[in-house]
Amino acid sequence: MSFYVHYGITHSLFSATSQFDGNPSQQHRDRGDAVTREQGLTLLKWCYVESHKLLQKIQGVLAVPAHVQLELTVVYNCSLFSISQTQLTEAEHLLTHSLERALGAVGCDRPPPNPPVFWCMVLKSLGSTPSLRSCTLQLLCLHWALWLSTCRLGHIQELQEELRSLSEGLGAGEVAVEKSAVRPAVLVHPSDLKDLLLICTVIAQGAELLCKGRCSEALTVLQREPSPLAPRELLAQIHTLTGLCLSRMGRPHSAMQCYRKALETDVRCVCALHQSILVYRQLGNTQAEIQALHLLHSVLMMPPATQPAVAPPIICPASLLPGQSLSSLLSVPSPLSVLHSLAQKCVLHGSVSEGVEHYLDLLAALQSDHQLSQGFSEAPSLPRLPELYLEAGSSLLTAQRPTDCLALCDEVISTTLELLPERLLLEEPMEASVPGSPDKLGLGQDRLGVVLWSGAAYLLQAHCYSHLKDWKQAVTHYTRCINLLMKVCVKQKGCVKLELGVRTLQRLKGLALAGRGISFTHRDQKRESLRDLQLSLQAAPGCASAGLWLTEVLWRLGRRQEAAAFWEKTQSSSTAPSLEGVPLYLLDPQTGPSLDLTDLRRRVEEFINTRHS
Amino acid sequence: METRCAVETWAEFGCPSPGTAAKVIWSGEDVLICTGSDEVSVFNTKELKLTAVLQFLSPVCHMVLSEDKQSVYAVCESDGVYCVSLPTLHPRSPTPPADQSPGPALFKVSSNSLAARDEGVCSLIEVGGSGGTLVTVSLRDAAWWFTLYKAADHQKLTQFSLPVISVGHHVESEENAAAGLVMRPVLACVYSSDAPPLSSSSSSSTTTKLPPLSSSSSSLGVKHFLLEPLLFKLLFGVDAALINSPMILCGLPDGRLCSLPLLLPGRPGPCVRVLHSMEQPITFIGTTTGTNDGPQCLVAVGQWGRVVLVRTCEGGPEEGGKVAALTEGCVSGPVVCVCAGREGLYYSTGSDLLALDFPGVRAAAPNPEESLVVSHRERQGQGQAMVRPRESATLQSPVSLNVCRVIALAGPSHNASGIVQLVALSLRGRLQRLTLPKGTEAGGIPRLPLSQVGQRVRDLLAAIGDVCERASVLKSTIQSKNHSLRHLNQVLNVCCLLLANQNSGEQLPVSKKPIRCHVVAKWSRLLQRDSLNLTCVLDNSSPYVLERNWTFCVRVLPLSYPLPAGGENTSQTFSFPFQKLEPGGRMEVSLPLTAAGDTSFPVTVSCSLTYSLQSLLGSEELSRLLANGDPASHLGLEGGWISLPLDTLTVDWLDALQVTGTTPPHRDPNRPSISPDTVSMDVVEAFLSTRKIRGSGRGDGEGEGERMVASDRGLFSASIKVSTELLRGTLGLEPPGSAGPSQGVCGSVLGWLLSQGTGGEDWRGRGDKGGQESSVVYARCLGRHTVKLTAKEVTVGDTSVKEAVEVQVQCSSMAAVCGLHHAVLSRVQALLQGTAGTQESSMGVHGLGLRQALQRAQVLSEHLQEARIPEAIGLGMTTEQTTKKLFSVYRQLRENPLLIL
Repeated sequence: MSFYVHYGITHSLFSATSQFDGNPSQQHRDRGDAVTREQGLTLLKWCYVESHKLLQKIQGVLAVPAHVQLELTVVYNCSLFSISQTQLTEAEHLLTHSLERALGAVGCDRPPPNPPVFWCMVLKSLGSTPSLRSCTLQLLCLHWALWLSTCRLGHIQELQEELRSLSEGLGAGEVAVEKSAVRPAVLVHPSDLKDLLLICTVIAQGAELLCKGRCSEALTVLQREPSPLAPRELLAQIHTLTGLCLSRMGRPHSAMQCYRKALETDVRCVCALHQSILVYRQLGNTQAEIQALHLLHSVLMMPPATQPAVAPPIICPASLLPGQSLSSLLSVPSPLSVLHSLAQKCVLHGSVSEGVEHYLDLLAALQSDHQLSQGFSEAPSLPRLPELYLEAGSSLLTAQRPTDCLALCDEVISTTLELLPERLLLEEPMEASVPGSPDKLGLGQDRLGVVLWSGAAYLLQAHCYSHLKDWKQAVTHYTRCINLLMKVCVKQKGCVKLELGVRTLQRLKGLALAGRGISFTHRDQKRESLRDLQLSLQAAPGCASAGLWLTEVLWRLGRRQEAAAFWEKTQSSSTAPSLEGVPLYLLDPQTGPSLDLTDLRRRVEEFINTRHS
Repeated sequence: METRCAVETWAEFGCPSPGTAAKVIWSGEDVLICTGSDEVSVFNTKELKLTAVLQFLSPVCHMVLSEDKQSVYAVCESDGVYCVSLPTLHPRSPTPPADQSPGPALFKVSSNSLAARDEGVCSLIEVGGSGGTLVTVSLRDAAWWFTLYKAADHQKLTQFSLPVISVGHHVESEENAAAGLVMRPVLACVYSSDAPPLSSSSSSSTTTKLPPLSSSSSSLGVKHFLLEPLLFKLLFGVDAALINSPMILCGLPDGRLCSLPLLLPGRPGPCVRVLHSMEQPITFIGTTTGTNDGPQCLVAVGQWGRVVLVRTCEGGPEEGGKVAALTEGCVSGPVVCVCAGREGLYYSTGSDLLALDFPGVRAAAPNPEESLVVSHRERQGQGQAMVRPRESATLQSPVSLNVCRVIALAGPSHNASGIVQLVALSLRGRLQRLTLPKGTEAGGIPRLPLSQVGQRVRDLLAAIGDVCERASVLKSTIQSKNHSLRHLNQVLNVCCLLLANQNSGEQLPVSKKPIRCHVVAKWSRLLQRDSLNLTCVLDNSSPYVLERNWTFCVRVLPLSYPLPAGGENTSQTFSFPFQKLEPGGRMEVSLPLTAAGDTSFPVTVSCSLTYSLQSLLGSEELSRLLANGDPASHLGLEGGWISLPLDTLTVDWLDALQVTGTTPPHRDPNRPSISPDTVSMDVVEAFLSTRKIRGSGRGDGEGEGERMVASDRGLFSASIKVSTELLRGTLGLEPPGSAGPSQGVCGSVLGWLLSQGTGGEDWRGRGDKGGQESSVVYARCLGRHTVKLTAKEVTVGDTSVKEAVEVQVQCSSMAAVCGLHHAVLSRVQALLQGTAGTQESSMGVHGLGLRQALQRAQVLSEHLQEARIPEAIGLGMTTEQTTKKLFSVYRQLRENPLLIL
């Protein structure tokens, strides 16, 4: 690729300018291309220093019109080296200073500092001379790169016309340059640089517009025909951004096409993959989403691409696209959170055993310190670890592995056991802790969490026992859970909307009571069972199995009237409360003691019918 | 409570450079010493010698040992972090036993060992050995950056930042900054004690389980601690405990104690959490290893002596459960370095080493009322860092170990017999082993056998004596400083006084100057030789005493001087040191101006006061002061001398006149005042001088000088005419018309002229015999020529008659005439200057006189030309003739001068 410096270029730079300087690159000449990246960086730094020395020598004397061309070319190379060392302000200062010198040499006035006006004047004064035109345009390219790297898109916008005419100018200059006797070599060919800048500008502008919500404008910008020679990663970024525009404009299918194109262009464009996952989720295509998650995870887990054995590029596209908006648009969650989503999706949508495996992988990854190498993601994408354990536990239970679930829950319980408060008073709504207060010694905001995690762990354990039909143990654990939850006292101040913690608490309470009631039923303790089931429905009205079991218990107690009435009530109020935001482990147990629903239905409906008749 | 510990000096290193914190690491048999230079020394405690020196490329400012103690990480000022494997320093190659290896092996650490290139690294810690993680803390862009590297290949993993908070400047911290001491963040790594530390190869399935950690956590690194699980969970949360994440604790120089989980992804909020703020730079984080029966606690020590203990205790009655509680206490700071013992800390304040015990037993475990209980309740309200006085009671008072100047500590090691040893580095760069007395660790009063009590008392008395001596030395130093300050104050006052005069009051009359001097020339005769002495009188009417170190300097500089061979300035400086000149006092000094016959008059006498700072401050301080430059140069300090000019006076021929009377002396002025032993010499001298006069005279003068005086032949003369009116006005004489016999203008004029010279009063006392029209006075001048000064009243001009006084000088010596003429002229000039503007009378006086004078001047000029023509055209005219001619021109120029109005 033309943006990568091959050392031949630097050689030619120095041999071309060796009339000013003793040829220092001789010693580097024979090292060949087998330089490692590290060596390349060192060499680049060395080139940077040497080229600046050369420039100092050249600029030590007054500018003479005859030497302006040479000087400007050296400035071009020098500034490129400065950019490669991320010395952006230095490069810019060099650029403007040298142009002012050149203008002085040909006898023009000092131009104003405002870049667009400055360049109009420079192009008018220097661009008219054919021999100087091309090297002036080179520097314009360079200034463009600097604007891009410092996110000054406004200047680019203002000088749009000049920049557009660059290509002809550069081409025309070529001929003139060919004729001159001494032809100073350039480090990166200006037309190559221009192509790169063009596409980077498109990306930067598109991202900027997209972030401002001006999707259709962004789309027009992005759909300009890009140069086919542009680097794949940049083309893929353009496709991804186009897809983002489309999906925000409500055209998910077209967006999908773009993401696919992006992936076809560059396999490593994980962002496109991530975005397509979001589209699948939006479209409700769970299987595709799971597959895409799989793919994303495996791509993220791939070892990073080995650095090419050649030297690093002098101008890398990443340095031209430093914008915050772009990086936020193209951000990708961490591999661990991808794995978590994958596991959750699998468990929720059928393939429980697969989900369990993913969960176990996730826990193993957390325990190992390999995770460090995968980097931290800024976004809080993983739930708290105890919740993760509980989710894994509940999926283990769903996958009919109650003993493993018991072990996992034991771990949560043992960790939280010592931290449980004697009692906990919550005032609704809870005050947000003062941000920035330095002292969070102790658990603070975790105190409710500890109770909930511990309670949920007991609940899961009780579910396991009831799954194993060990009713006594089940009752014990349900009781432990309930006792724990009773320590929390919520003082409501007439606030309608319950916080997530309190909602979880209620649901946990309902599930535990229902579970104990069911267990009591199996132990033939119908009264206790009835009490618990009724309390459960009071605590958390949405618990479906509790309602059915209550009917059953009433029936068994011989209170058929009530059973029938309750049955009718549950059937009529079919609006089950939404389970949105309820953690995986607080969903209705899938593996609990089964109730012969058809039998109950038959019995109750028979009773109702006979009563009516 | 005082205990002494045995100090054994092992080795000496150079004085640690003041800007860097020196460091000592004790690992097994080796002690690593870093004193801030580019070298790290390895000292073997078994062989008691330096075994290796690691030479880095730039000064080492910090170093830590890796957790497995196999490598050392060094932070170099200009490069970053180097990692050096320690086993390579001990090549266990079969060394010949006879080889008393001459010196330590020098290892040059090349840039290949560079682990992380980051110039801003302040501090670092390595967790988990070679397979673990390296955590560095650096200050950049107003944030503390925590950067994680893989320890194996130093690959950068990730980084977090914590914004810097600006702290109000402590006075002490400014002192620190002045001393150039850079406070570094303190790092420590904490494990939950039920979790195994990260094994070096992380996948635990492949490695064998580590041996269970006993309470002697010897397998842990120096900065790695185990914390009981409950406290760990309370401090760092359930998540960290679930995955056994090691926690990095960091004590920042702004006093914040932060924690950073090493293995914790996905937790919302910032990864770096601030646990507590000490409000002073943190110098130490550690744990008390704790005994069986006490709760373990986390300890942090601040630089100014604040000690924070964190431990678990029962929660309040409302919620119960366990909470983490802070106990704050204070010891006297500054805390320079700390190391943790089994139940307490050893810390050095720079002037003493102290042992601080923590009550490790339950009895002292804080109950909720007494200590600060941190629950979520208190978060809502006031800040938590309130210190109640009772809390400091939970800290015992530290026990002094009587070792001073310790700047770095390592250890302790406990051997089987319970002896505790520490390794320390002193301010002077001495590596010392400190063996603590038994029982210090327990904090109890050390019990001594009776036999040692006497020895103890002697020791103590000796110590008291030492302290007393030091105190008296200090006292005298303070006294001398005070003395110097007092003196300097005086000096400054005097300086201000005189400089103010110089700057603003240039026109201040002499009599009003606070410190003034005047000069009188006096003849004295000693051993038959007349000599002219200059008497300077210094009047101190300022309110300040001129004490020692002040010097009165008189510089005598001839106004014109003959060009001797060397041609250099022939000035002479006399200096007279003051003993003590009280306000109102005067000092009179006299100095030989010239032996008679030396005729380099007139002379300028400049008087000045100088002050020598060197004798006050000593040369060392002075050179420091001078090196500072600016203030010194303002004062005109050069070489430590303050020089304040007082007055510049002129002593001329008139001043040096010896009036002999109003009649011509009867004899030769150099008549022998006969004294037998000098007769011959005087005669010879007289003869020689007469010859000389003749030679320089007209040449045809024969006979004796006496005759010449009498006949007015062969004498040189010069005269000045001054208008009487002017003289009357300026000398304060009565107008001519006034009643009574006037003193006579002429007499007054002569009196005035001679008043400043010697013998003026003498002459006046004899009365004026010169009559009204003229006054004559004879005097002996330098070179013992007799001079006749005549003042007579003349009238000038034809048309407008003007009264004037003509002062005529006559003498056989040309030089004397010239000199006196000059002197009289300058007096008159001074008179005119003093009265310029007041005398407006008769400006248009005798144009005639002017015209005449001009004509004469023209004639003279022609003469002069004539005289020079032969020389110019190269005619062989004798120099004698030329001289003669020029001389006559000069004489005519002197005669008939214009009237001075």
